[in-house]
Amino acid sequence: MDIFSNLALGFSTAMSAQNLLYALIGCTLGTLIGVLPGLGPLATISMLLPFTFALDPTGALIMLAAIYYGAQYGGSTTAILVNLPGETSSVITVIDGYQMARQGRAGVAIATAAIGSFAAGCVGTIVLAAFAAPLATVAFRFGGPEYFSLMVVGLVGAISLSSGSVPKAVGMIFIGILLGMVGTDITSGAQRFNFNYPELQEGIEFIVIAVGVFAFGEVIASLGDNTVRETSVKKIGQLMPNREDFRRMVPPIIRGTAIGSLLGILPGAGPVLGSFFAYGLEKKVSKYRHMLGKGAIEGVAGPESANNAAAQTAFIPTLALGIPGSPTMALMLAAMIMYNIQPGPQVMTKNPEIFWGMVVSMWIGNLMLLVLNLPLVGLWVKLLSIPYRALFPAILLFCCIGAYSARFTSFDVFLAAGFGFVGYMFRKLECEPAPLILGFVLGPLLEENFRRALIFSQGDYSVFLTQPISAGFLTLAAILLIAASLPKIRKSRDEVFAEAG
Amino acid sequence: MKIVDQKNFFTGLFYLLFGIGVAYVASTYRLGTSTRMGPGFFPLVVAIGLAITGLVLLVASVRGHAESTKFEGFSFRTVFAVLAAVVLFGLLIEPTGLVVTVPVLLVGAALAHPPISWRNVAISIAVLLPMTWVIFVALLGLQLRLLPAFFYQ
Amino acid sequence: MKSSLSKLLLASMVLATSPVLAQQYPNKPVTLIIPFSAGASNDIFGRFVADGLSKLWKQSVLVENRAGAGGAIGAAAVAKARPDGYTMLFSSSSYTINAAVQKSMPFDPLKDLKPVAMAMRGQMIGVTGSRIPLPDLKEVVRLAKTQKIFYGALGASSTTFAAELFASVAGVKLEAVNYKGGNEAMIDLLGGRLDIYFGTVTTVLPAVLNKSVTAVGVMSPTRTTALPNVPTVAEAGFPGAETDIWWGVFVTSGAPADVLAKINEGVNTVVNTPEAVAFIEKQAALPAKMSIDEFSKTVLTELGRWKELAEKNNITGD
Repeated sequence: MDIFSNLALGFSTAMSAQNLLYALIGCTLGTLIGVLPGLGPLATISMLLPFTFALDPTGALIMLAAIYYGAQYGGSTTAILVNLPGETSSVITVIDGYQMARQGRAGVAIATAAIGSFAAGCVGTIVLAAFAAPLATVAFRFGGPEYFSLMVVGLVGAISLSSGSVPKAVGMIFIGILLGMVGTDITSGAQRFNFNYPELQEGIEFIVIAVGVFAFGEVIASLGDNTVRETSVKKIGQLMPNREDFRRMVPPIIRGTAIGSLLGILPGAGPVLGSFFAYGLEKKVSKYRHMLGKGAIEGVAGPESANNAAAQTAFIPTLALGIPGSPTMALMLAAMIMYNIQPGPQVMTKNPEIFWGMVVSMWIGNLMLLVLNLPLVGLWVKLLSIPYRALFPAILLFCCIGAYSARFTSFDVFLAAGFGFVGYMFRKLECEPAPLILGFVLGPLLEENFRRALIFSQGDYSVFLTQPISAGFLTLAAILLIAASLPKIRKSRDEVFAEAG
Repeated sequence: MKIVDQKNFFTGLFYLLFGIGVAYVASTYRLGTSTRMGPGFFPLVVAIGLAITGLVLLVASVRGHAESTKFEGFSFRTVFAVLAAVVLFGLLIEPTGLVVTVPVLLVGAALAHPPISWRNVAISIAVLLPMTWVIFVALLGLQLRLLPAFFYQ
Repeated sequence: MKSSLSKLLLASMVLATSPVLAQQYPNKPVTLIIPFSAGASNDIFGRFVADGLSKLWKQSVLVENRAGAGGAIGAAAVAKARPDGYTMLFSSSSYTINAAVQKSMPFDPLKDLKPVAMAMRGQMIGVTGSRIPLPDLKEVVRLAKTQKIFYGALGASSTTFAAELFASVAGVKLEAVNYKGGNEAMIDLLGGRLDIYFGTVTTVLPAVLNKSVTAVGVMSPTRTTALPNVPTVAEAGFPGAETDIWWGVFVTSGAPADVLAKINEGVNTVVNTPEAVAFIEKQAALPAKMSIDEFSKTVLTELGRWKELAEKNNITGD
């Protein structure tokens, strides 16, 4: 069977009016819950999982996939509208998305995210259909050294994100890594940095940092700087991208999709790394790179395409090997097992209608996202026409509930307040918070894989350079680091010459 | 010595102190061997890296040709009002439920941003309290209470 | 005008949600805490039981994953919950192992939690990867005497304990490599970095069926129906290395007796329907049916046995 007859089989399974309805319902619920601060895809899927029990397996999986995409997209919407990333992979969308919103281009940003996601989803579906089996084995080639070095590339790449100074960004990454180490050490089982607070044994929740550093920090800064706008935006401006916008979003969507599709295959942090890499790449190659950070459409189109493409190809190890790459995937896997579908290579031959139906249903989920969200853009943007003095208390309230309901402990609310102070200070000191989040997400993986690599190599550090994939990544990291510091060196040299002359 | 670049100076100072603090705590954990690294090794290295980064920023910020920046406009009132409102939310949510916490938070938020219009505060409570209950409790079924805890005993 | 409207709204809401007093359990959503990450066997079974209970009770049973410290973190959360039966723990035999190896627990495993119902029993199986050819357990032991054999460990869990139990019975030392979850360990086993992994049949089954790894021994007195050709550890030459695992529901100590009875009855009903039996057997496990006392006794006996073994073999949670 070739890819087209496979996809045809998938379409014949998935394209019933009933399944389309499930996809629409799933997408709607996912988006609506996903826009609420604190409720990312994982929480949304676990919350809505019971609703799918009444459906047949294909219908249920279609609905779950739709919820997944809806929730992920909802998170991006919040990132753009109120400067709060709903999940780790939309952290980067905040940078330019929120700036666009402040310039009255929220509608364009949200629409761009939907269009980029859809385009990336289409490509991701084809990659999934065509290469699921061969690509799955790529995941095996990644052991301790490879993951460690990949994480290093990701972190070094994050330095190039910040528009400010290199040492500032490096420090933010270090702080993020250290925050990620709070709680139980996986390798030894020891407790670290919990200061005898049992709430810290499980580590710090991502949403607590996001709510504090991004949302609270932004609210305080907006109110305190007396730059409060009567409405959040001067004028609503255009809702949909114009011809110029479309022209500019195409190259970053293509680049973002390519990066995301590749990184999604690796179990772990595919969507996050994908979005950071895509942004870093735009920063290097885009014609409009000087505008990044100031509300450039490239800064939304690239990362949003990348995280959606990665979300799509993340199904490859889940479906083809039965090994989930993320907690969300693990939940999808659990759902499949609940419907008596045993994922793994056999699922393609034993239950082809389910496997291909699922592949196609993911594409349908992406399509629904576009169909549903383009009309919703107007609604979301209307939220911004509410005067800021009426809007910010609501933001505060929803964020408090989000921080509290992550684990239903007041401790997280206090912690979020602390991070709010830190976030405000970062703004005052012009420290970009995105690298901190990447350090926080990747730090534990970095340490775990570093230590594991050394156990396998029996303490031999050269393993990072003798393994070809790992060595390749480290070389790339070195090149990135040099490239990031070069303009700085040149600049200070120029200054020296200016002084001398 | 003059602090030319105040923003970098304070950032550097924060990095340095935070790094030293974490390094101290990490050094109390087992460091282990290179084959079997203990829980203290990695955080110690990262914390030292952070402290060095801070030092670099500090040194650069006092050099004569550093870019001149000023740390200013720290708004005590806003910071205090917003964060106090959030902390009160955390303290009150379990004992008193949404019916008390939502108004408290909204009043706190209003204090952060004068001039205060009590009419607007009342409106926002009237709108947001039912909305919060409908979305988070009725529809999503989160474990949030509407009323103070003693109503449920 | 506006404020009277808001008062009216408030009043109607107070009425609509007026506190429900002492109705029959459960009269509000119940939380089931799963102390392992999503996708683990604990998670799959826990969600299955939660789903069954919520249908049976016509009340939502919310699942929460609280992974870490070999399950101790999730258990501690339940230990600290209100003792009303509305916070349940879906734990497994790792509960007793954990209690045996950890010096300082964030809760008292004997006093803080009450075993209520065993849901399923399951078998553990050893699988080897392809870094060095390891066709059977004898070969594992032979090579372990001259070189390092790496096994996948998951903190203080049944996986780690099974491997250490096997090593102590065979009289060799295996090198532990820790992972966050069984899935991560399986990737390294498939990738030819790890040598052996003792996991639940659920975790290893896809890879065994796919012939990417070799199943070398079932750690039970009897073979498993899912893989009837795989010998038991006794058949493979290592009697005494048997350990079964179980999954079951605990609640915070101090919950009323009628609540405990209702949960026990509920779990036993849910896991013994024909569909449930079929589902559980597909996961290479068996449904359990135990009274509260039987389950409590099982937990207690096991706890003593593990403690003794842990001390004898010097197994610690670090």
